[in-house]
Amino acid sequence: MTRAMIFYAQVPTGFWPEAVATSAYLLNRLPFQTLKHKTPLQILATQTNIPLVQMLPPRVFGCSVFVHIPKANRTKFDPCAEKCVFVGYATHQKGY
Amino acid sequence: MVLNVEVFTTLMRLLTRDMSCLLTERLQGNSGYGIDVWVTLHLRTLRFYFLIYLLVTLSPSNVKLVYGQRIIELLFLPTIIVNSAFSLVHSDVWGPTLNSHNNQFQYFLLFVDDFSRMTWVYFLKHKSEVPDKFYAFYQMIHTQFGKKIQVFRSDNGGEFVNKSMQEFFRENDLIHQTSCPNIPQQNGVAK
Repeated sequence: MTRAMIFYAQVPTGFWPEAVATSAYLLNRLPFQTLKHKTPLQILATQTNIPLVQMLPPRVFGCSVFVHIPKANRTKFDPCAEKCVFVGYATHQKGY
Repeated sequence: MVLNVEVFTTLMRLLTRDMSCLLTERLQGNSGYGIDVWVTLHLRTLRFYFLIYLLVTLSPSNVKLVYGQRIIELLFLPTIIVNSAFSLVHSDVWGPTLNSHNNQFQYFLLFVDDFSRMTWVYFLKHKSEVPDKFYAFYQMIHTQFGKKIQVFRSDNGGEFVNKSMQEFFRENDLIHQTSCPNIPQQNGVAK
């Protein structure tokens, strides 16, 4: 999965930690056959009180994203967003 | 994949060697346990030898194990064997990587919960960070999920079989299971 993401996005292989973290994030939210087609997060929620995890719509690894620049950091005619590349999900907060 | 005669004989030699080691330990009385404790301790090993024994005896007399590798894989087909989260946690370390130009990470440490198949990844710069990360993971599970890891399964890597890890296991009453040498399929979930 990680290899496929790195090749498809054509990112340098030096970005493997981001790719591995992203595939772990996705695997935790994908159904497993051994779990009777449920996701690991669903199974875990049946046993423990998991902390509230906000679900974000998934993004394609390596796609172009536009990051908002706060108003305080720009003047009237500056661009209000910056073009970036998506490399993964935040670990402890809702975000990318 | 064809399990040819050489692979087969190597396997058998390894099996007999390990088995004789175990038996010698038992007969010399070095272990200091009763036979029941000994059987419990080596239950996975014994069960594995028994399966191999069945496999060998039930196969045709001339060694024609064309699907032998497949049978070994089937023996260790990942199945969920516990009914509570964090009773059994699989672990493995991957690395070192060849190209890490923009960051210093060389390894990653993987934890998989057997019940939910939930995966956690920790990135490491050196293998010596494994005990620290494992301790962090143990604390995280305890705090966030109110559970404690009961059985920890890994391979025989030096990052798991060392003094600080073993002391941690003993202090926290964890059971550490390692796979038999040369049979990484026993740690198949994490692999």
